[in-house]
Order: sequence, then structure tokens, then C-alpha cells
Amino acid sequence: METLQLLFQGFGTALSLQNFLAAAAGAFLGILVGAMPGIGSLAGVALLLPLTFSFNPITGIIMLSAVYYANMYGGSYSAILLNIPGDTPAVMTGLDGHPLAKQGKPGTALFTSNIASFIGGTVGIVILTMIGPWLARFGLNFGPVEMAALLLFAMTSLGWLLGDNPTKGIVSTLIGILLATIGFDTVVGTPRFDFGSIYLLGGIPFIPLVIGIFGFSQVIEMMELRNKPRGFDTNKLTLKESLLSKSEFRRILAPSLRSSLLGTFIGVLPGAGATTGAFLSYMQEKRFGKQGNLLGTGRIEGVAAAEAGNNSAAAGAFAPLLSLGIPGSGTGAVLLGGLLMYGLNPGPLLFQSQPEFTWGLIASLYVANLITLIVAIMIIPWLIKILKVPVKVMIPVITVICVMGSYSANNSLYGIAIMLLSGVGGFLLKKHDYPIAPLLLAFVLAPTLERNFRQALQISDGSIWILFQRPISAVLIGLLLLTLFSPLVLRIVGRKNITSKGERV
Amino acid sequence: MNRMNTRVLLPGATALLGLFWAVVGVAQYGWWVDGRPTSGFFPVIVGVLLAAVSILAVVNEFRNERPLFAVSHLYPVLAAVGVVLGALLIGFFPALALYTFLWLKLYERYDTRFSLLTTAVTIGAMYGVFSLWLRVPFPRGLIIDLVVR
Repeated sequence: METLQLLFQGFGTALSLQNFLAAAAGAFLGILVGAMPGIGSLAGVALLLPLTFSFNPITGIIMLSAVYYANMYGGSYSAILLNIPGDTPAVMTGLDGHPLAKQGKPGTALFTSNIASFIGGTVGIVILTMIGPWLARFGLNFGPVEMAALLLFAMTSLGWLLGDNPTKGIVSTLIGILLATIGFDTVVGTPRFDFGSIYLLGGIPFIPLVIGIFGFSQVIEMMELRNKPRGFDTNKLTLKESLLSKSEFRRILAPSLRSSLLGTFIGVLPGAGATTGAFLSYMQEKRFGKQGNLLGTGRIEGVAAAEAGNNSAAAGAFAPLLSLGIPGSGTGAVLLGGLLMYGLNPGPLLFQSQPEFTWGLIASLYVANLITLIVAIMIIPWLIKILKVPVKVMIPVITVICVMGSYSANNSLYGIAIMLLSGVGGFLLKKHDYPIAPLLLAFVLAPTLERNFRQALQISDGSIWILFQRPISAVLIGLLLLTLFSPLVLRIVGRKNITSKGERV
Repeated sequence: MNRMNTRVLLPGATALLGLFWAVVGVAQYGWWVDGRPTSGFFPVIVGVLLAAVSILAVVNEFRNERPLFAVSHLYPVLAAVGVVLGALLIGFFPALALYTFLWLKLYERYDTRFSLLTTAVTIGAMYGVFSLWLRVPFPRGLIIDLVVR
């Protein structure tokens, strides 16, 4: 009851004209920055941080939070329309979103993405409001051993669940992990696989890699489609045709709610972030959803799971940030910097010492979520027009976006070189039926897995049994073994049944 | 059917890459010291696994037809390399504008007006967002650098 009272007071703060306008501006800018390949939420929040210097602390942080939040909405747009994820979590959205766009349903994909983002965000904020501090303390139980088990579980599912051929999926996953080992070893800080190059010393930059593998490889592929007509009627690309029907809304509701719960929990874990949230939510839907086996072919359930997962994880990440002062991601670290800059000290006492600020911020997340949804739906008619542009014109335009985005990632031509190489590599992999999403996800998750796994082994003096000795990690390893061996066991049991039936006959 | 094609060569190359990673990992970065994993631990495991799974992929691929490639697949790559070289000489935005216009006008055979308009809208939007708003420092090119100096 006290929580609700404080929340209502927070709404009083958030709905002041100044803060409302700041949240609206943040939502608009966040969508714009998120949709821009090469920028991402971390750079977006960092770039817009100086803009808030002239505001009072509450208004400034409210605006930054809205930017962060709206970024998650925007990231999916370029993934759906152009197959170039605006940020890392949107990789999962593109798996079903882009095939939907290619089928002539970009508006449906965008609508689903917006609605699922809203549901994910709302569920995440409600959980944050109710049990945020408790959840943050629970998240602290996830040390290196538990994180290693969680990521081992996630990585093992990658190759098996994405794509039609598990062998090729695993090859793709392992290439991603292998590329991630280039650069500094984050555990001991020594260079590794840099081959004497100062560029490789910093590792392979992610943004040019993702732009190349998804965006530029597609430009190369488009050369085959230049003179072919689109497989759908471009006149049907209207807002009316994009609206979700009742049955479509029912189809996305359950995946969105399931993914929101999982995503919020993942967001709370230190270092897990929205990418892991989106990925595990998608995997959960693929494994347990009604038509999980069809995910990846252009299903709205896939878009909904990924978007609800990443937006709820973004909300969940506020729990450790506000209650413990621990940022869950790079973007969280920039937000933490912003809080400190304004003289606010996040931690257990923040809720007591600065209730107006804390509850104002939480209330503003509700407001920002709603405003972002409205802005996002209003721009759909303009966004879907992109697909009316002929492929012949799209080729140079997407190339320009790829070159600009990969250069801007680290202000260096090295980014463009990585984009070109990964574009050619991605094209070759796709041409030979290797799924490319596992490569990118493995590349993102591998450093966290390696760091936690090695720390876990250091804690146990090299004994791998530590993974089975802690309750949380034991459960996760149990799930991992179940995932790995259940198809084999089911096949053997199935064969036995057939044999015994045959004998009876 | 030619069995030695890119379907076999690609996993063959990843198998070699995996082996290389494992060997360099053990030789240069070590595996296990004082009961603890070292920098080579993870790359060695990944390298060995990649080599093993790639060999399995090679075996599976012998049965499949090779994919078809066209010379036109190379054009966007060559164009992007040209843009980079052009950017070093005449600057980033002029090089991108020139590329967009020439591609539309000469390769896709659009009329001059449409090519110019599309180039202006694309490059204008990119310039507005990346250069004016986000202040990304793009190379001005050798020629402008010489003139300004």
C-alpha cells in the first residue's frame, strides 16, 4: 500500500509539464537513435548525456531513462525493415521480423514489435515497482558459478535451436566464440590472438560485425533479386493492413507475458543485459511455444517473444542500478555515471534518502513507455513505405547506411574493413545454409561466459564439479543436460515403442 | 558432380581455423598453470570443438550440390572498397554521394533527375544525423586537407 502511495507521488513528479516533455523528447530521440544502425543504446545515452546537463537532476535522469527505454523500441525497426539490427537485442527480433517484412507484412511485424515492447516494458516496470529491491538482492546470488551455468545453458541451445541443421548451427556458434577470443583476455588483461596488430588488440568491434553480417551480406544477396518483382503487393503497405486482428493479438499475448517475466529476471542479473533477455525469451518460445518449431520463418510470436524479452530486461536492469548501485550493462553504467554526476548515490538508501527522485523516475518509466508506444505507432505509416522502394535503389542506399554505421562505431576506417570482411563472410555462410544469428549471439555472450567460467574454476581450484555443488547452477546444468539429451532419449523411447508395437502385430 | 566445391571447402577452412586456434592457444597462451586455467584455456576448447564439428560438416556436405555464384555478387564489395579509397582522397560524404549517383545512373540506368534526387535525400539525411547531430568526425580527404593547410 505504501508502495502505491509513493508511486502516485512519483506520478505527480513525472507528470509535471517539464518532466513529461523531457520523457516525450527522450522517447522520440531514443527511437531515432535506436533505429540507426551503428549507434546503439550505450552510445545513444552517452551522446545525449551532455544535453541533460542544463536540466535539474530529476528531469535529466528521466530524459536519459526514456532514451534508454525507447532505444529498445527503435532497435527493432531497422532489423525488421532492412535486416540490419539497430542494436544487439534486435538480432533476435530480425529472425522473424524480417521474413514477415519480406512476406509483405512489415506493418504487422512493426505493430507486434511495438505492442510486445509495451507489454514487456510494463510488466518489467510493475515488477520493478513491487519487488525491485528484493529482486536486485536475489540477483546478487548469481556469482561467477551461476552465471557460467546460465550462459553455458544459453550457448548450448544456440546451435541446436536456430536453423535447420544442428551441425551448421554449432559451427556458426563456435566461429562466433572463436572471434570473441581475439583481443584482450579480460580475466588477466593480456593480449591474445592480436597477431601484432594494434587494431586486433581491442578485439573485433561488434557493431561493424553485425552491420556486415546482416546488412552488407544482404546487399550482396540483393544483386540476385535486382530484376525480380517483390513477392507481395506494395499497395497493401498501409496502416490499416498493418493493424493486428483479434486472433493475432491473442497469439502474441501469451508469448509476450511469458517473455516479460523471464526478461525482467534476466535484466536483474549483473552483466546479463537485454541481449541475453531477448535471446533466452526467444529460445523459451521456440522450445515451449505452441508453434515453436515454426519460429524463424516469419511468425509474430517470435517477434513478440524477442521484443518483450528485451524491453522487460531493460526495465529489470533498473532494479540493481537503483537499489544496489550496480549497473547491469554498459548503458546502465552510463546512467549510473549520470546519477553520480547529479550528486545522487544509488544504493539501498536511495529509496529512503531521495524518495521523490526514485519514485519519480519509476513513474516516469510508465509514462515514457506509453509515450514511446504512441510515437512508435504513429510513425509506422512512414516506416513501411521503405519497402515500396525498389530493390535496385535499396542496394546503394543500404550500402551507404552500412558504411556510415560501421565507420561511426569507432570513428575509424577499420570499422568499414571489418564490415566488408564480415559482409562477405556472412554472405558465404548464408549461401551455404549456415545460420548467422548464432554466430553473433555467441560473439556477444562468449566473453561473459569465459570470464565467469574461468573465475568459477579459480574459486574451486580447477574443479568443474563446483557447477553441480551450488543449487542454482546445479538446476541450470540439469536443464542443460535435459536439453542436450532429451531428443536422444525421446528418439530411443520412440524406437522402442515402434519395435514393441511391431512385435505385437 | 564435382565433390570438391565450396560446400566442402568452407567447413574444411573452419576446421583448419579451429586447429590453428587450438595449437596457437596451447603454444602461446598456455592451458593450465597452478591448477588454474590460463588465457589459452577457452580458445583451445573452442578450437578443438570447431575442428571436430567442421570435419563432421565436411562429411555431410559431400552429398550436396554446390551453390551458384555470380560475378555481380562482387560489385557491391568493389564499390564499397572504391568508396573507402575515394573517402581518403575527396572526403567521406563526396565519395558516398558520387558512389550513390554513379550506381543509380550508370549501373541501374535511372535518369539523371531521379539519381540526383535519391543521392541528395540519402546523403543529406546521413549528413544531418551523423555529422551535424551526432558530430561524428569523418575524414575530409587528402585534397581538402591540403587546401585547408
